[in-house]
Amino acid sequence: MLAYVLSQFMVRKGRTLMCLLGVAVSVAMIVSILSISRGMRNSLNSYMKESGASLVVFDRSAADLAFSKVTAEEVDQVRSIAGVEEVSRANFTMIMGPRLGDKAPAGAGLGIIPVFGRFYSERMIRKYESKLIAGRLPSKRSELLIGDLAARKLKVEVGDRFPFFREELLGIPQYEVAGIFETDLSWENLGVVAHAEVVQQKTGPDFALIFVYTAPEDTARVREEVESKIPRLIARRASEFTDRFNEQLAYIDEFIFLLSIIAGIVGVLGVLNTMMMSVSERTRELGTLRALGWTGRRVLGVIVIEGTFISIAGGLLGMGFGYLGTELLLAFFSRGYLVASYLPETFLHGFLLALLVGLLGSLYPAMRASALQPAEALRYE
Amino acid sequence: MNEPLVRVKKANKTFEEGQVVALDEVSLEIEAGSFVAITGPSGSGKTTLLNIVGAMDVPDSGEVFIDGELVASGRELDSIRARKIGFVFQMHNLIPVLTARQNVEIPMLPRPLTSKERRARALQLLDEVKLKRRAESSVLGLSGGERQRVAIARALANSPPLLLADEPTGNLDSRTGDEVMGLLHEQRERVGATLILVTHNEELCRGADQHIRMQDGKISS
Ligand SMILES: Nc1ncnc2c1ncn2[C@@H]1O[C@H](COP(=O)(O)OP(=O)(O)OP(=O)(O)O)[C@@H](O)[C@H]1O
Ligand SMILES: [Mg+2]
Repeated sequence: MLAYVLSQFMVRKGRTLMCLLGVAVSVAMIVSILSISRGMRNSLNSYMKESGASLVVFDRSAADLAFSKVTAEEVDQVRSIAGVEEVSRANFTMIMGPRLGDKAPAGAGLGIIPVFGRFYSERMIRKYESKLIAGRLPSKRSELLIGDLAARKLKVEVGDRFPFFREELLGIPQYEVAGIFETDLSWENLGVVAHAEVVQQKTGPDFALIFVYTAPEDTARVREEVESKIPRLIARRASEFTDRFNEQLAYIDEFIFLLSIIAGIVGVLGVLNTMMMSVSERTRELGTLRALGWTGRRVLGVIVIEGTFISIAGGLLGMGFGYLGTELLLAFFSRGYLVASYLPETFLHGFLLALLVGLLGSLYPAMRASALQPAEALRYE
Repeated sequence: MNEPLVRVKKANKTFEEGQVVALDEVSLEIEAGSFVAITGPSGSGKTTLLNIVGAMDVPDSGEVFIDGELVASGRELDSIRARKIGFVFQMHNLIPVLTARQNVEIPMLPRPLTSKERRARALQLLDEVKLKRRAESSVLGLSGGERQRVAIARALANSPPLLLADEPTGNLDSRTGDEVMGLLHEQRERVGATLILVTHNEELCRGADQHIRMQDGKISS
C-alpha cells in the first residue's frame, strides 16, 4: 500500500514537488510570523523581568505603554506604601536619530531610536552594570548609555560627544557617551538610555511606568495596596508582565489566524488541483484496482493518504524554510527591531495547518475517485 | 443437479439512455472448472457480458449468480470480485514504477496477510509464470509477454474460482500470445479454476468446453 502511494509520487515527480513547495511556502510564512510575534511578546516580557523589579506599575486604561501616564504625586503615594523598598521612574520616547556630520557616511544615523529615560541615581540603572561592554554607567544629565547596535549605527564610541537631540534640552548642547551596553533584546540594543529629566522635556512631567522593588514576601500585598490606593494604576509582577498585554496581542493572533486561513486556502487549492489531475490521469488504473477487488473506500483512503503525505512533507519543509527565512530576515532586513522565538507550538501550528490542508485538499478528489464506476473507468483511454 | 459456477438469467444492459443495447436477454450457465470461449464482432457485447459475469457491473434487468451469490447493485461487488474473480486484461494494466512482485501483491492488500506472507505468495506465483528472476524489476522494463505473465500471476493472487480474460493476447505477436495462453491454461488447470476467454482469434477457442458466439448483444450459438 505504501509502495503504491510512493510510486505515485515517482510517476508525478514534478507536480508532486510543486504542490509540496506550495504548502511549504504557506507553512513557512505562518511559522515565520508566529515566531516573530512570539519573539516580540517574549522580549517585552524578559525586558521587564530583567529590570530586577518586583512590580511594574502603569496606567490601567492605557492600551499601550506609550500612552501610559504615572504622575509625580502618584509616584510619591506608591513610595509611601509600607514594604516598598525603592521606586524607579521611567519614561520613554522615540526620536529620529541625529545626522553626525562627517563622522558618519551620508544617510547614516537617520532612523528611529528608542530613548529610555532613567534616573541615574535610581536602582533601575544598575541592571546595565552587568551589560556594559565599554565605559561606565552614566552619572550626569549630559551623559548617555548607548546600546551596542545604536552605537554602531551612529558610529560613536565611549567618550564621544555629540548633539543627540536636534534641539537643546535643559541647555545641554552635547551629550557624552558614558558607556555602551549589550543585552539579549535587539530593540534595547538599538536604543539609548538618557536621563529621565531630559526625556521629560519631550514627554512632559509624567512617567510612563515605575518599577517597584520590595522584599519577595511583600510583593503580593504591595501590589494590592497600590491598586486599591490608586485605582487608576495597575500593578503587575514584572515576571508576568505580558499577561496584561495579551488582550492586545490577541489582535495579532487573530491576524495570524486569518493569515493561516488564507495560507490554508492557497494550500488546499494546490493539493486539490494536484490530486484532481492525478485522479483523472489515473482513471484506468483506479478501475484496475477496483477490478482486482479494492473497495471504493480503499481507493478513497489511498488518495487522501497521498494528498496528506504531500502536504505534510511540504509542511515539514516549510518549517525549515520558516526558520531559515526568519533568521535571514532578522539578520539582513529587520535592523535589529525584530526578535523571534521558536516555540514548539509554533511548529505544531504549522504541522496542523499542513495536515488540515492535506485532508481538505484531497477529500473531494478522493470521493470522486471512489465513486468511479469500475467498468467505465476501465474503458477510459 | 450441481449449481453452475455462473448463472445469467435474461440479462439486459443498455447504454446512452437506452440507445445502445449492449446485452439483450442474455442467459447462460457455466460449469465450474470449464473453459469457455466468447467470440463475436466488435461491439457485440463481449466485454459488457464479461463485466457482468465479473461483478464489475450489474445488468439493468435480469439476474446474475456467481458461485451461488446474487450479483446486484447495492451488494458488495468489490468483495465478490476480491474473493471470486481474477481479471486479465488486453492491456496488462499493471501499475508502472512498481515491481512485478508489488503488482502481484496488489489484490492481496485488502486481505489480512502479513507483508511476509504476501511477498512469499507473490514470489511463488511469479515462479509459476517463470518470472521469478524478474520479481524485483520495475514492470516498465518488462516485455509485452512478460507483462501479461505478471498480469496472470496477479489474477491468481487470491486463488479465485473464476478467471476472466478479455483478449489477453490482443497486443502480443502470435508466438508470444501462444506462450501466454499456454501459461494461462496451465495455471487454470493447476488451480482448477474456470476460465472465460474473450477473443477474436478462433484458434484460441480450440478445446473450449463451451463456445459462446455473440452478435448484437445476443448469444447466437
Ligand atoms: N460505458 C459505456 N457507455 C456507452 N456505451 C457503451 C459502454 N460500454 C459499452 N458500450 C457500448 O456497448 C456496446 C457493446 O460494447 P462492448 O464493449 O461490450 O463490445 P465488445 O464486444 O467487447 O467489443 P470489442 O470487441 O470492440 O471489445 C458497444 O456498442 C459499446 O459502444
Ligand atoms: Mg471488448
